[in-house]
Amino acid sequence: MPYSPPPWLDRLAGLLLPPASAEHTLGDLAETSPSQADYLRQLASVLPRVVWSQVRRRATIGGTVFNALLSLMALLVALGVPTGAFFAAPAPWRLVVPWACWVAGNALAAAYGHPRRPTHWSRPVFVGWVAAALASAVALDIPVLRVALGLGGSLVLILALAMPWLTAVPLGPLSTDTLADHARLFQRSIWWRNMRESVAGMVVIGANVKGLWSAADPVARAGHVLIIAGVLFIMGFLHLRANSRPVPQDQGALALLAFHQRELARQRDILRAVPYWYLLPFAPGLLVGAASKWDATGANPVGALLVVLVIFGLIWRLNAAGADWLDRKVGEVELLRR
Amino acid sequence: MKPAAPIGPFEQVVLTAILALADNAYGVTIHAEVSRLIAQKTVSLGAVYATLDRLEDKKLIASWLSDPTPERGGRSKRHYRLQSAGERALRESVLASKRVWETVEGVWGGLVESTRRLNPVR
Repeated sequence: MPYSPPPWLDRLAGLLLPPASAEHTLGDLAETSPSQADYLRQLASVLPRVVWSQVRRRATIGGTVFNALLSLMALLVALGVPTGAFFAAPAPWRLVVPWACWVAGNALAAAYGHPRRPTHWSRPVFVGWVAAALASAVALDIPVLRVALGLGGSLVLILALAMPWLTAVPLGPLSTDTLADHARLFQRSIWWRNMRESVAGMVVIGANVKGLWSAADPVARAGHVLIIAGVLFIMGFLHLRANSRPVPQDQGALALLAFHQRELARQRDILRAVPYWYLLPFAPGLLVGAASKWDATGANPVGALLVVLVIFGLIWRLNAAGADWLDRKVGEVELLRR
Repeated sequence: MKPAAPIGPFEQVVLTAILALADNAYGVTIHAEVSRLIAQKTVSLGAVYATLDRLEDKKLIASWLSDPTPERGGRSKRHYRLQSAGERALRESVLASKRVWETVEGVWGGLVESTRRLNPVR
């Protein structure tokens, strides 16, 4: 007679396991466990791997790293880095605790989302971890309102970047029936990316125009002008060369396939060329700006430039990963064509 | 034709288990078959789940839930089967392992004999 866990244990295990894995994992545990002790031992052994697997699948490693960087920046800004009172107090590193709660909570909320909706987040898990982040801020004497402001700001940014109303549309696997939907969704995501980048570009231009008016040093002003020129070049490139294109209507499946494959390959090549059209245009303005600051304050700019280099490297790697993903999509379309 | 996705040694074993189990490939049976194939190591069920998820993300295998069965506490089984990309990846990985085997055997002059010397049969 196989072991059957009592209802309370079954419910507890069902709560602990992410919904996408719960059904078959609970069945497998019941089938292979001869006793309650064995069931508990197996559950403890399986749980971390299953949770991590769902984090990797639903939150993704890249998404979690991006969230971690964005929320850290938002927290630092909200707390007034580098001159805010919090940074003058001892042990500012205690900020790591609420930040880690936030990052882990986001990843776990994604992992415990609805099994049939890949972009769905578990509300109880999310709320629980946000409460833990704020409670840790109170316990560690970190200004809790500022922490809430920073985390809220990063959440708004993440939601805007992910455009949930776009990604929440569940699409079946690529087939001749779903091809038109896939092509439309792809073009909409390109349109949204360009819109997002343009808004960010306008913010950068605004900040540099302000800097241009207030700077007295001609080298600093040249730096601002070069940054503005670089951003204008990027925005022009996005709208002229990397733009979204209307999906052809009333054409055969083969024509649609050829269009979608061409578009995927075009955007893939654009992502691969990111160092040249997206990163390089910033270089003259950043270098001139750093030289001006060095001249004015005597502060060595090497550290700041290294940080910029690391961020540029990260942007390059993320885009290279995106290009690889598009390359796989090109391959899928090729298989469908055959 | 697109080159097969590269797979690691444990992924090779899991794909082999799914291939061998055919229509009966689900968590418990795959875990048992993987343990049998690896023989000398203890394999956790969690490691098998994580690998199955990864292989599914790589589109090397596909899965579906069966109807619930009473002997599993009324829970469903998640069945797995190889996709054509998975078959291709497994074939290429096995061929690579065969080439490694032949090379080592060529250098050592009888790997089976040296293995017997290291682990004498009682």
